[in-house]
Amino acid sequence: MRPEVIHIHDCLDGTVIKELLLDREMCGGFVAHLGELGELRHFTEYKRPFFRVERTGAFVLKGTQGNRRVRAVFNMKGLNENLALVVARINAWQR
Amino acid sequence: MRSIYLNNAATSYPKPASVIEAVAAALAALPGSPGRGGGGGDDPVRRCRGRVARFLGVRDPARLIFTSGATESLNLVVRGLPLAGRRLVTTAADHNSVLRPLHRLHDETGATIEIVPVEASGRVSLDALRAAIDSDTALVAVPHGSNVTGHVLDIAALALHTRSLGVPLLVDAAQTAGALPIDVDAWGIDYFAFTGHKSMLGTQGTGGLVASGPLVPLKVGGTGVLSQSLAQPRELPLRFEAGTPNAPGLVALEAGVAWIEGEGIDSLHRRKMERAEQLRRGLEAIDKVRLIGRPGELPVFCFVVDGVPVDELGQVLEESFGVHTRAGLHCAPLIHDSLGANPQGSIRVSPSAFTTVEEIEAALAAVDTVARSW
Repeated sequence: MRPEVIHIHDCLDGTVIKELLLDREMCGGFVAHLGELGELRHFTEYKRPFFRVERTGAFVLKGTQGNRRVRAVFNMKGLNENLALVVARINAWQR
Repeated sequence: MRSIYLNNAATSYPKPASVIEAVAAALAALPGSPGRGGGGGDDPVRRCRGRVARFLGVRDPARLIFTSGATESLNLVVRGLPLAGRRLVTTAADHNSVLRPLHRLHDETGATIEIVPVEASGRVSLDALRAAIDSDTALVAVPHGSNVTGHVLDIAALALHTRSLGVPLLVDAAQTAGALPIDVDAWGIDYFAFTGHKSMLGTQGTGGLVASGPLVPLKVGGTGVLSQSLAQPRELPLRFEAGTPNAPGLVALEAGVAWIEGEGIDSLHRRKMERAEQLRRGLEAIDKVRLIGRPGELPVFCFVVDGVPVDELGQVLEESFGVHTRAGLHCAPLIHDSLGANPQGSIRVSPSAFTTVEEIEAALAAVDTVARSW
């Protein structure tokens, strides 16, 4: 899966918000795959399950199962490396 | 998943069927030259101007200038008055559509800005405002209704004071035009800015300014009349309306106002406030929910759920439950400062006259689920 990365805006608190647009809908397996990048919270009891993956000091990824969009908040420090890490992880999803 | 729309303070939805039908008919008809003279009584721009002027208590429709919305109207006043280096008074409850033009004027000309704070409830004290205004003040810019707490300012009482000092009063009525009865002339408002896409039930890209004093136009250009002259016509409203008007948008605006008049503005307000009250009471009963300020006279207020980041709460409500709210600072950073909710902001909810009891119950169940699970 190859994401398109869209810059949303730079925040005053030193973070950067980006959206990662996917070419297919996210399933539970993909969420678990992404979750290995950090601490995963997966709210499967919601009508449409929500997830957030936090890698302390680096980024938070948030999204909803069934959508094609991951909202990502990156710390400015290490932005390029961490964005590359997330994109590589998404690219590695095969199913 | 069914959508529940609670973001009417941003843009009203749904629009009455009569608005949608009017716009469809306008788009299907020959365009003509609306607003450019001719066209007789069928000119939709003239028709809209007449109806909106009556609706807002403006005796002379020529003083109603159509713009792209409240932001353009407010900029027109701030850029169009001789305010360089002067003393300006505004409030912490104002929207960035007021604060940013004033801030730019400060940066460019050294104008000083006195910001009247809000009380703990989120309300602006009329006494504090009056105390901040003196005869050296060049402009007082205030919101008629807060887009965060829904508190409404007594504009007639404020105008009495500004008029006695000869200070121009600019009122941002983005949240109140179409929501509450307004009488611009009787209240003595010098500059009254409104938008069409909120409670007036029109489309985005419409709005206006009622101007009672002189202004320099923001833009000049073609008006369809007096074309032999390279100077902008001086007559109102053409002086301020260069360029082809947004005729389909103004058709929507007129239809929106006609619908409000048919239903009765007081009756619509009562319906909205009933749903807002149902929502407020339900939220107060949910553990971890905290209201921001105290609710005012408009059907809009804000809350947070302790422990849940505001942006994520907004995203979850919308994507996981189909409940459309607004997350963030709502372009009103200073009132969030005052109420201890900056920089994280808040979730804003604003039902409409179309919102049902069942929709509020579903929205409350969604907030409750999130508050329990987070």
